[in-house]
Amino acid sequence: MPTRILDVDIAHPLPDGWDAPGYEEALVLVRWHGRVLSTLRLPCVDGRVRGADVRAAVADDRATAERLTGHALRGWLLGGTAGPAWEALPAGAPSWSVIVCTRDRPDDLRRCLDSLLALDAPPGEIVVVDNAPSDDATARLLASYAARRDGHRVRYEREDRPGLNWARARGARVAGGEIVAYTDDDVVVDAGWVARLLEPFADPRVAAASGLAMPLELETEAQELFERYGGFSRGLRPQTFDVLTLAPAAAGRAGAGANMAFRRALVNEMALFDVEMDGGTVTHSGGDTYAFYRLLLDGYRIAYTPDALVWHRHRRDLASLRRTLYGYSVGGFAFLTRCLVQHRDAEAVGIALEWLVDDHVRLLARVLLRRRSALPAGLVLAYWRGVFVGPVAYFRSRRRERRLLASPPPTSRDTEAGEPTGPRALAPSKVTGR
Amino acid sequence: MTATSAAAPAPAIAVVVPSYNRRGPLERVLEGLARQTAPAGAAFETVVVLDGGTDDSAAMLEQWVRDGRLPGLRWLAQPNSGQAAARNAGAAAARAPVLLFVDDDVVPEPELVARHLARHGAGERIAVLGDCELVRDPRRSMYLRFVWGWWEDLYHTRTRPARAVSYHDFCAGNVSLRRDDYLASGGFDPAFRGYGGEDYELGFRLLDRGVRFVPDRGARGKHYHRQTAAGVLRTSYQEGQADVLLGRKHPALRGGLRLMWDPTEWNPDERRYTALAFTERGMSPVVLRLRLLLLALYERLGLSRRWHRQISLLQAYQYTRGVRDALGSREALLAYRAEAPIPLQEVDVTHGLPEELSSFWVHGQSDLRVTAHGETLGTVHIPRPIHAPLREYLAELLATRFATPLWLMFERRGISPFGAPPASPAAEAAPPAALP
Repeated sequence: MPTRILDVDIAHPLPDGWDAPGYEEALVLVRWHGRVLSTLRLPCVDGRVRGADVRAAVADDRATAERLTGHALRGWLLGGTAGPAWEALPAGAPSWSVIVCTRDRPDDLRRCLDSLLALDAPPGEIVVVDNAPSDDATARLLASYAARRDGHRVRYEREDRPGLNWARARGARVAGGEIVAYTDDDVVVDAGWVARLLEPFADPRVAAASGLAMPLELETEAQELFERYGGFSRGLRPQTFDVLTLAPAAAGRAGAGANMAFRRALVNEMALFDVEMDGGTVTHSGGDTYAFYRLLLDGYRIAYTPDALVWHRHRRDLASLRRTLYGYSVGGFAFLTRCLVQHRDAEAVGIALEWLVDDHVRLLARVLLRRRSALPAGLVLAYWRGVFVGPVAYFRSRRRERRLLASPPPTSRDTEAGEPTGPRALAPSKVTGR
Repeated sequence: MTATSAAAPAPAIAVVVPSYNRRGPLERVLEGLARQTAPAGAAFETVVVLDGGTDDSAAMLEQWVRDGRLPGLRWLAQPNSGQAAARNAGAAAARAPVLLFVDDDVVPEPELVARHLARHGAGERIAVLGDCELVRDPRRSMYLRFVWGWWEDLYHTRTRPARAVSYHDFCAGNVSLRRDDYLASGGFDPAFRGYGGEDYELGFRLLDRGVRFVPDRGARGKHYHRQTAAGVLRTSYQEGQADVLLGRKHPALRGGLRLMWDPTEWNPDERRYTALAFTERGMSPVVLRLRLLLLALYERLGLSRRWHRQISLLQAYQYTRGVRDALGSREALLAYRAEAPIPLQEVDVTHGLPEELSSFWVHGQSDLRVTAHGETLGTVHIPRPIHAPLREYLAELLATRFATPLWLMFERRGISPFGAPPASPAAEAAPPAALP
């Protein structure tokens, strides 16, 4: 069942093989000078992934060949010499801050921070926003970084109001970079992540950018299921979305919270992260999608760049997966309700129906028909429950928000237990273009 | 009709504002001018030209002159004869050696005049293209949403390096040039009476005479753009007429006009609408009315893409209708088109795309001959005007539509665009750190 994950750059000679004891299959991310070309699934032979098999699969795969030749041609035309012309960020690239919102996951966070400190980009700051922690483990972890040589780049901020969007908004308020890049604490970033994510901002109409999230590991059934049904994949084709190419209500297709970046001034001016949305609130998810929605409505562009890559550790147990899928469903339908009620966006109805038919109905049909590809019934039920809870959650969150804004001094209060860092807001398969 | 302040040394720059029935917006422009960092009166004079008009703009201006709120302010009025004629009249009345044209819906930011002045400091033969920031209605009308995007793209790409200069960059809403360049070129052509065309036309003549365009995003005005759907369509009609005029005056420009765009690139709806525009009766007013209602409905329901599609078709119709009315018939259009061959240009990719593509045609459809090492690889057709930065646009075009000839060339010449693999086998193929 488990799948070995490999990251292969074909600009370099491939080794004879990779050890993969106990794995039947490998998921290979194929890159060229860091640019993502394709993902391939290969069988493992005798506990190994053979270099020759990878070579053959790469050579056979049409999509890989097309992307490779396209990159090579563009690089040659723009650079005038052989080889890629994009290694360094152009002079005048904007300054950046990475914001990691976390809650009670010091082990994940340590791995995330280590990868952030190894980023291959002009120096920027890293802001950790500790969201309503139950102990001081995160604060202690950050204190240990302060002692390190490069530790001064990591800042600690505490946001006591529980809710992912509270934390995101706080991060943007305290950050110093022109661009704020968000990632989750259960993520390991690729060395080129920030550099690639900054590239699209050369266009002033690009207000946000997002990138690819690959699975860090696929060791358990829950992780495999998440990758298949709740995964982050928005494809491997770079795209630029605006209101002409993407219905704003389908903004979930433009990116996800684990790998996204914004112009900080816009985040603050527009109050993009609506405080009572997303992880840690009754809506569970959808805060990132709503931010994208507002940008699209205002005529901005959102650039999706698969080359900006992060590796996400999916939850390992089925119970977490159920909560996650439930959260997507609730958040997605809360978001769509909001589009309809608050923005009078009639397109939200169509998007909601599309998502329902393409995802919920199909998953349910598979269970009822006892197909082999069926998800466990409990997961599907939870997913369906979210459809009905979502609209209610929207109205509850509005009431709560009004009350909060009426009485400024924030106090700690009960929130429903939810994924503190819901990885993705809206997971409809059609909407996400899977 | 003229109220002049006491004789004083001529200021360095004259702000010329043509206006027609826009008392409120015009007053905001004056307020913007009164807030300049450059001293009004001493550094710049202001000439407002009322082009006919029936509102009380004149009384407002008289009040401003009496109050002395904007030193160096003068105004004159003329019977309605179009923006081009109004600007010419303003320029003729101005005394300063540099002219800055500002439209009556562009409110100058405090730095505007100073920035223009600074750019002209060296006395070079340049036209400074200022920046207009579109102010969006808080209700965010659908129209402004799209116009804002178009606008931002224009001002941004215009300042990008290696973008070819186009006479379309010359927008008279916020632009300055030397008075003698202006006079030598003959100024705006008053034959352009409707909306549009007159600034592009002058822009072409200026480029032709060797005036360099210098975009400056810091010379900013706030553009208050108000437009209804019906108004947008009227504008499109006038643009059609202006384009015919432009092509008549400068046959070299015909190839780039929208009426010359390659019809094979159009979708069936666009073809249907343009065909309809060439019929005797055209679209019935009732149908047009209904379509405007439909637009309002789409806007209300937030159906932006349907709205955009609908208005684009109507604009195409109105534009073509304008072309038809200016030319007379479909046959006349065909003759007009036949007289303007599609421009052919060349790019040499021996060492990739050249850094400088300044002579490149960006105004409309054209054929592009690609050469390398002295041999012709083939020709690729560019169907529409290019607004993107040129090198990126051409790289994308050639990488997708011209890949095969390029690969054949690589093969013949023994070039590998992949680059040589590194000598040391850096067998980096491990998954990211810390797997269990």
